[in-house]
Amino acid sequence: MIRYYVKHLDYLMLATVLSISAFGLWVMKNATRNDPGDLYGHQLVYVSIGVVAMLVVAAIPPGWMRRLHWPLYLFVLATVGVVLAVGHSVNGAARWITFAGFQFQPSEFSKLLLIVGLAALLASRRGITSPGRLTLLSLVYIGLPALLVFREPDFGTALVLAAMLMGMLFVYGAPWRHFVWLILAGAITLALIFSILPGAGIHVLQTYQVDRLTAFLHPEKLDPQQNGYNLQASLAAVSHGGVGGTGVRNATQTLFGYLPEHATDFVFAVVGEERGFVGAAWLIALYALLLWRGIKVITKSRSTFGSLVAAGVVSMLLFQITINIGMTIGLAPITGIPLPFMSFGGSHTLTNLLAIGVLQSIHVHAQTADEPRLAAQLAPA
Amino acid sequence: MFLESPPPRAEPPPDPLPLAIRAAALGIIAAALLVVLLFRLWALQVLHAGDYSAAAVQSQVRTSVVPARRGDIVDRHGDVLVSSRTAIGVQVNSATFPAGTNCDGLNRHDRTEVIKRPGCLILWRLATVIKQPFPQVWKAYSSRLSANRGYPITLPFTVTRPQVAFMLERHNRFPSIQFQRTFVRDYPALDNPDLGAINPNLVGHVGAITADNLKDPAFRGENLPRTGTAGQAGIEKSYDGWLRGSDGETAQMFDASGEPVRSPYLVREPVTGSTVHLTLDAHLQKVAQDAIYRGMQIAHADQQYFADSGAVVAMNPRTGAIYAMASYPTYKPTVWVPPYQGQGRVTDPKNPLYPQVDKAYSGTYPPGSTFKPITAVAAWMSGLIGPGSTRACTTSFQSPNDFSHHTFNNWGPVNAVIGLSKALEISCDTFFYRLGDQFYDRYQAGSNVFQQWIRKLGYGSTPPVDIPGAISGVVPDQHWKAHYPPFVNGPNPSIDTLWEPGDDIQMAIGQGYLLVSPLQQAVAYSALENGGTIVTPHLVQSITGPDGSLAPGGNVAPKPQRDLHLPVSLLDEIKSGLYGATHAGDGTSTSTFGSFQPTVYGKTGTAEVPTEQCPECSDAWWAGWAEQNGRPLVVVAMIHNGGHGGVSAAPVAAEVFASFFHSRYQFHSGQDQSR
Repeated sequence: MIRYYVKHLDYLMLATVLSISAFGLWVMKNATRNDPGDLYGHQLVYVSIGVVAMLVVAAIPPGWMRRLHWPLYLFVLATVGVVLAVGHSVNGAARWITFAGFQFQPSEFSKLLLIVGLAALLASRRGITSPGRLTLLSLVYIGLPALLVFREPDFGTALVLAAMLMGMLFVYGAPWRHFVWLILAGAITLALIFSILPGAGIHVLQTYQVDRLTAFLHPEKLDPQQNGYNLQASLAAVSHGGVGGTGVRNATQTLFGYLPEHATDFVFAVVGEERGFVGAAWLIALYALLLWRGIKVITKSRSTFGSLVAAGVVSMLLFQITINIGMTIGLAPITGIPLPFMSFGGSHTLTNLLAIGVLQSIHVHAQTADEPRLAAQLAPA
Repeated sequence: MFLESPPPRAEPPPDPLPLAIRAAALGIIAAALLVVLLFRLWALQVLHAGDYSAAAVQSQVRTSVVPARRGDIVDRHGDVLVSSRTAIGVQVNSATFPAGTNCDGLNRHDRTEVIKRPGCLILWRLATVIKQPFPQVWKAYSSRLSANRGYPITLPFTVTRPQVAFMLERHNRFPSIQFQRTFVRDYPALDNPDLGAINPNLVGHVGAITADNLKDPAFRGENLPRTGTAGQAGIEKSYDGWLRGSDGETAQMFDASGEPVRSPYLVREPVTGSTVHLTLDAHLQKVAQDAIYRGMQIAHADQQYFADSGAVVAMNPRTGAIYAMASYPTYKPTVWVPPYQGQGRVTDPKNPLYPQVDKAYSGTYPPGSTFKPITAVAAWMSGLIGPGSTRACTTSFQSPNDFSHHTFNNWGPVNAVIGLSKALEISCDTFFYRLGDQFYDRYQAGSNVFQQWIRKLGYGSTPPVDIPGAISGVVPDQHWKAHYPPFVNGPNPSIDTLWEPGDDIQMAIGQGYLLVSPLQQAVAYSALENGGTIVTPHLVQSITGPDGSLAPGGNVAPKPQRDLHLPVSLLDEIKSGLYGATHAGDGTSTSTFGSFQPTVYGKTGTAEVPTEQCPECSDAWWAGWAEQNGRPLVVVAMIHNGGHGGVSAAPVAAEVFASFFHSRYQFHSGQDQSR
């Protein structure tokens, strides 16, 4: 069994993830040299735990995950609900709960768990429920936790969940008109949140969120003291890097505290400043490689469940990468979505590495005819 | 055990073709998104690299000025008159100083009120430490704030090292107060009893650059910095571009919280200013300065109690190089250097003697009889007199042109027919009255030839001396009189504004409305000595760089203004007249110069300047020259309200001559680089 596992791991994917993580740790170490606390040390621990967890999860047959999807779904609702009730607040958002001395961000883990859950749901209903009802069911399935996450408020994760849903339905083969409806519904929701409801005096989002989210649309009106500062500082850092980057010592935007959140949300701006276009493009190329390996898993899996999980993970990573990088260079709203494998943070690092572990698991077990047979083989061992 | 394998379910495998297409579509979407990001990065980092960061990076770096050492001012022998010494300047950083601070009306004792205003409290503490009156510190800051908002404002005080240490140790009690190594002017010659009479009006002084300076054409082309100092008067101002050098600059990076990171680095080295070499002889200047004072003492002894000021100009009549130019009352140039002791007395507008108005070139007076040689030149060149011409020297004179039949009296009882040289020797007024009357005939014939020749000799226009502040004086004519406000607005404008015979007659003996400065006199007498060349009076002969070699363009000694080509016969006649005036038994300054070696040629003047307080007052003048071993010297001495020129002014000139020709301070004429 071990030999089978070792033989069927996707090593290119593994190497890519380890490269990005190592690159992320290196950038973190350089970027936080003037910061209080040992962010690098913590991140090193998170990545180490995450890599081990990833390799362990890669060994777990997908069928096991599939069987557990209802308890996991309830777990997601419960934890996200608890956060809403007693959550620990950072920067005005209650996203964390403390458990056994550690702070967790359940909304991060919920992403992976909901991918597994939705994939199981869709796979089990295939050919049983009509496509229209299935899409509606998926919408409700994801919509409920998404609404809770949105209330935390964690607008970014809610968006990730929406992107995930779209990606999985797309790969699942939902009819085109469903996407038209979904996009229309999304547009109406956004219009309600940003323009119509505030006009009627109902503020779904905090004012700071609206300002932050829409800041990138009118950079000329950026108020350097307020919401625009992050974006201005980020653009300045990226632009300062030029082609070849400034190196660590001359990365003044990063080093002297002009770039806020340089270890978390704006870590890409650090890459842009210290390593320039060359480094940034290199990182994007690594992400492209990783996404390509993920898409390969979609086609390689011989089960619907496996393909859908892979589609969910790819959609999740793609959305997070695009929005995070886009936000540091003024193309996307500032939503607080971390950059996978790069940004500081235990929960999302662990979640993303586990997601890769799940991808690997599907890759490892894709070669077998189907999951049940594989599980049966494993049982005696 | 729920980890057991689920029951096999009849699940159709996913349709491979559509799935592959859908996965590929997902891949294309992913690729498209990443390519968009790459294009944006390309634009930010390659096409417009640095565009967004230029301002941001700049804001991290704060520069500060490293003041350049100002060049020295030395006399013709290289004795340093004006130098620079290091000092610690106090600055208030107006960017961090509490905005809207207003301490108007508060003084040292209003502690309870001061404590309520954080900005005032800082300045109050500063004032206490540097021992300056608090209102003065506030005034110094607030008056400089408007021009330099956002910059560190340099206060006009220097501090000692212990004071700096005291404040730095308690820097949280002195926020926004910073220190800068700076230079202030130093006057080493002042301590030397032989040289210690620096005329502060000539050398000028240095002060903070003002808004007016930035508009001043005198600084045009100099690219004055917004902060710092510039020459505000005299040589310091007119040669500011040479003296200032150029300030250096250091830069230091600051982090987002405003704390400095890394040590400051030098962006630009400061460049020391050039050395300005004056034509002045510091020792002769000292002698001249002291001589004025003694001349006033003589005047007081002669019961001329109103004698209160005076001037001396000593100049090379061939080149216009000024060897000494003194004015009384004077003051020490240190009043312009922190802590500005005694400045109030100097700048007090109620001080009737205006020490800042230099009597030698910024003061004008009627020249009296010292003007007679000028009248002689004008008359000779206009053809009124010539070789062998005589006029009657009578006790009084009435002009046939004058319908009021005013009687113009000679200063003494005489009755003879004399020539020009005798007229100069005995300073016969009526001789020159007759010339003035003849000029009136010319005026009636439509000619202003008298005024034209006076102006050709340098009167009535500002002498082109190389310091600011020289004034033109007045050469009256019918046009001037027709527009002179007191006449135009007076009780009888129709009569008072007319040009009358008395105006020419009075001007012929240097009275009436004629006003000249001692410097103009020196230029005109130089022309009498040198054969008619109107020299350009100047104070600077050359400029050398910090390494001592002549700076490019540093040979600044000017060319003469013009040559009048006066005939030798005229000059001989005047020279013999001036010789008689200093040597003949009836000469006006024979008692002073009769036995002086070398031979002195000169003329006294006693110009009536009646005022209500002093109806009998006269300005005492002496003007003339001497030469020995190819070293000529023109001296003009003037004691305001000094009475008889022969009594109080001639001894002043004699002291200058004596020092110049006899002093142990040997004069190096070889250094005189001007032509």
